[in-house]
Amino acid sequence: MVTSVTVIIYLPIGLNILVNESEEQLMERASSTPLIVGAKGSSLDLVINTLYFEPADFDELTMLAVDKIYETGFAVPIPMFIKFKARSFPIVGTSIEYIYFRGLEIERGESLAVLGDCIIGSEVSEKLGLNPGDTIISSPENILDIAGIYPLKMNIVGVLKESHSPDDRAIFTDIKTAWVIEGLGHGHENLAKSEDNSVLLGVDGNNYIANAKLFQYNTISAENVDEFHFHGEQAGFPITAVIVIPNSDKDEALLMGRYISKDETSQIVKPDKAIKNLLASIFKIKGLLDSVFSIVAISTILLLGLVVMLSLRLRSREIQTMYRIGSSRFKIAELLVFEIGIIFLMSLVFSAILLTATIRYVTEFIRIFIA
Amino acid sequence: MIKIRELYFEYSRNDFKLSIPELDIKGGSKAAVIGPSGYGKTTFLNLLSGINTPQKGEIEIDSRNIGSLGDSERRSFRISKIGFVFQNFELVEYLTILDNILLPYRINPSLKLTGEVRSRARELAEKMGLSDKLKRNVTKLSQGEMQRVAICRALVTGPRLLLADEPTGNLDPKNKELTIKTLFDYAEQNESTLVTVTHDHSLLGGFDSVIDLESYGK
Repeated sequence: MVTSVTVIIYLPIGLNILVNESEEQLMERASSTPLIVGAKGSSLDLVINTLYFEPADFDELTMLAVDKIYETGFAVPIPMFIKFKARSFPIVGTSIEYIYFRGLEIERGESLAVLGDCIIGSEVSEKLGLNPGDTIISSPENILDIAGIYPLKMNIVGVLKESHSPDDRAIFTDIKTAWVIEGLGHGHENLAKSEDNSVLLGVDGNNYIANAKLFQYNTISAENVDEFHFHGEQAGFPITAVIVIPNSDKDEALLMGRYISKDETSQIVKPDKAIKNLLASIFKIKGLLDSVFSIVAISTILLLGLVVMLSLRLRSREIQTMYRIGSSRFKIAELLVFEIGIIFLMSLVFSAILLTATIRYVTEFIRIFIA
Repeated sequence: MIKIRELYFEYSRNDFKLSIPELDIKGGSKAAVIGPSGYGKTTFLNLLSGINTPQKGEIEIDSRNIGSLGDSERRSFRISKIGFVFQNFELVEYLTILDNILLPYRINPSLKLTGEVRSRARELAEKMGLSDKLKRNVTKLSQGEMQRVAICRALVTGPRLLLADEPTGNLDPKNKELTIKTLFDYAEQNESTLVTVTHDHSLLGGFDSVIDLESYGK
């Protein structure tokens, strides 16, 4: 009985606390991100991928989208390429502006300097025991694809201060490093300087043709960084989104106007609006759950009433005995009310303990859930 | 001394009637109440204890007319003067033996649970061979042991009038004998009046008087 009453008291209040905290945390990150540009499709997927680094299945953009925003002069664009993982933590290919934009601070080590460098979030550092000077290898996209892209060993140059956000569990690299992981850039021994002639198949003008024996670097170091290069125009290289920081409200409005056209292949999204839509759905579910809890609570209260009535009936002889040996009806009623009171008091205490624990840990719990 | 004069009682919900023109039970004596089922043996005990009040007539116990007492006074009288033993023991299942014995003190604010009372409860339990089981739950006891606990509960307040409703009805011969002996001993040692309802005519020889309710009609 105590458990039932505890659950009835705790569930609606506890759920309310959870939903409110989720709303607060989701809105906090969304509100601090003015605009996101991404390929047309699910705006929620785009926002969740960009803000929380969750994998999502949507089309990619090219760096041209960043150039296009930059050229308008309305906003600062920050490219985001969130596709790969290293030891289950997301690799976020971006520019150093992202670190400044989020107000992230480097606790140990230094900032990104050269290709192959990465900065890790505090949780990545703590969970994997990694520090500046260590390395981390990107996970292959598909372990069955043996002809696929080679994992890249990245050099950890800095660890971010804890920010209680998804940034704590991310690995930040320059976007070019992310393109190397994508296979768009690579490094190999310089054929012009190579002493091993068996590697060279032929020369076509300035181009050297090599066979499969050519050594490909899977790590970028000071010695080989110059051998890394990209094939093709970088404007056509992929990104998953652009975080856009408009200079003013007017610039924001003007910029958004540029994405209204039906011919436009990308979309511009206000993250807080997308999250609000998501929350509206959550609140609909919460409303439904509240109704269910209300029905369950009413049913349980009726059931508890029935249990109390049946219990009184079962105890009628005991009550009668107490009366016969001299107890007053008032005293007997007092004892029964006291017993029921104890049940409710215990339920209240247990509910209060659960609610205190919920309030104490809800922030961290939701953080884990959202991250 | 119990004096009954022109007693008339009926239940409003059925046609049961009990009418006793005159009856005296001597103080400190042992009286057996007999009669077929439905003749009001339990009702008679309830009238003596003030649980039921007669529509007419008087019941005087130790010179006090209990019919003239108010509810609260009747209850105080019952607590302080009367001890009850029931056929089905009527113990509280979730309490230990000791707590059952001390139950009158738990439910009556006018009775003070002192160290002396606790000692008395333990002495009674020891007399009844229950001293090593005081912390045991009553559901684990035999029928005889349950009745012994019920007797301890009735005696712990030191009643001047002991009312027993078929106290041996559910007991084997050995426990029947022990129960009757205990009740008789208490009545004799404390000069208390014992009124016992019984169907067992083999016990009647030990009583000072027998009240046959059949003789008063139905």
